[in-house]
Amino acid sequence: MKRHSTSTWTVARTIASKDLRIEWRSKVLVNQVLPFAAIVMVLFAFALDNDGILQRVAPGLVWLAVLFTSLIIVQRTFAIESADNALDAIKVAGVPSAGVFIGKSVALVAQLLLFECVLVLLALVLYQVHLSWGGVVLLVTVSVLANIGLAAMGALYGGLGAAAKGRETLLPLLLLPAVAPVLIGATRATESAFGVGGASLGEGWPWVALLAVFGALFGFGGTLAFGVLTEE
Amino acid sequence: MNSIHPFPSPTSTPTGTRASRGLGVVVFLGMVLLTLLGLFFTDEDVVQGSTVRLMYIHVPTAWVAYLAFIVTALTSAMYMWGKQHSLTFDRIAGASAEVGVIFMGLSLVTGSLWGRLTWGTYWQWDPRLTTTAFLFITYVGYLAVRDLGGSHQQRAKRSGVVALLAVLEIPLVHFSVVLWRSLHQKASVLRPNGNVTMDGLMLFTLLFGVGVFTLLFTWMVLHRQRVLALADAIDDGGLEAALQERRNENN
Amino acid sequence: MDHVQFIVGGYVVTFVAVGVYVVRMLRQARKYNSAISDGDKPWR
Repeated sequence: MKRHSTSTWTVARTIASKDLRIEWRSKVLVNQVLPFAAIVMVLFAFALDNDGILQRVAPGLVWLAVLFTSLIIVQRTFAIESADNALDAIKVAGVPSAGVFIGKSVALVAQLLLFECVLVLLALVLYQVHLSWGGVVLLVTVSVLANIGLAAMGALYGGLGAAAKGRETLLPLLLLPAVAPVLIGATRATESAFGVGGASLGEGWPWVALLAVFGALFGFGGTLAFGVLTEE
Repeated sequence: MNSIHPFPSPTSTPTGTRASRGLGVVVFLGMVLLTLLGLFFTDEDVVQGSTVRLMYIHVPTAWVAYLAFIVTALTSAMYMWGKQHSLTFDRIAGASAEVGVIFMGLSLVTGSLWGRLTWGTYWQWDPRLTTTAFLFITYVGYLAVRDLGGSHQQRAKRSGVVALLAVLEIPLVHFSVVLWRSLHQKASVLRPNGNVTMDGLMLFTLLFGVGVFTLLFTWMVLHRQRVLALADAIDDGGLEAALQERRNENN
Repeated sequence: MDHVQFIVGGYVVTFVAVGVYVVRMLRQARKYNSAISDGDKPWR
């Protein structure tokens, strides 16, 4: 009976706040995933072993670390559902899947934003890059738009993996090629935010358009497709 | 006759018919002729020299690879929006993607052999090349999604959505790689555009190769799709048998 | 002919890969065939 009265937006808000509350209470993100992201940044420095190179490639390293971390976060966000077959219960309850998708994506956007703040701070400290106030504005815009694309794709393919139980290894294969435009766009924009190689701030903004198109396309497409992909 | 015939007769090949067997013979003879034309009958190119001979096999494989993914996208759409959700469309999509992955891999291999001879390097971050590699990986992922299990309709729906998402993904990947490369200096090797002036027989060989490979693709998808139908029927049969066993248990 | 190993190699790789795929496919078809009645083969 409640099926038709539960609006998509209410569901989305409930799912998102529930996900974030779980992460806040369990502290898994802060205690386990954050140290992982930090050690990746340190290992990049070991592997490249040269301050000049590190400064030059810092934007790419930050976004690579974001991509690797996003794999873990996406897997975790669906692990908390499939542990108690909660995704099945949600479906049985007739909750609109578009709402679940949007809620999951919003929670992912927020979590990714936290990691990007930490990773950029680490880049400032460890790789000695510089950031102006104008760069901060650009970086925040880039991060939010890139996260929408990453979260939409992550929720979509993560949901697919969770629906087909025990096949989570599929996620990187599907997700990483699909989000390559995000990596390219966000890295180039971050290069101009950091002023790497003499890039000016103005050069970064056109990439924001690419990220916006990507986020809009897959935010919308994902809302339509999520229900079909997670169907039992 | 069977011992020397390259394609087994319909009685020994369950997915064959008179028509597909005839097509198979045409394809085989066409391949022999293409090889003779490509390796022996045509002259060497003025600019490219003998490396142009790789083009007669590289261009058709690349063409078939892209054709295969167009077929996959179209048949996936026909499955998704068709009233009956016909599994035949789904199986054609799967067969076409599988054949397409093989030809995409082959076109990457022959392309990099050609690149080694012409550019002096196996790989170049050229947008077309990079997009092709992404297409290859994306459809390997698509085939993995088809293997996830579940009912046939479930497989068809999932993989249909993934195929349609790929149609959105690939142009974006291509566009962003083009933007990315336009910021960098062009690689300082020989100009990578394959503009060669071709004489009559060379052009004929190229077009002939495209034609023969298109027929080969048709033949392979025809058979593969029928094999997939057999596999689905076996799955259904297995389910029937299991249900029957269950009913007997209850009685 | 220059670069014979590259050019002939390209042809050989292509034909061998397609050949292996086709042989495996037809072998699979023969294996499945015995378990399926002709009624499930609409092309027959």
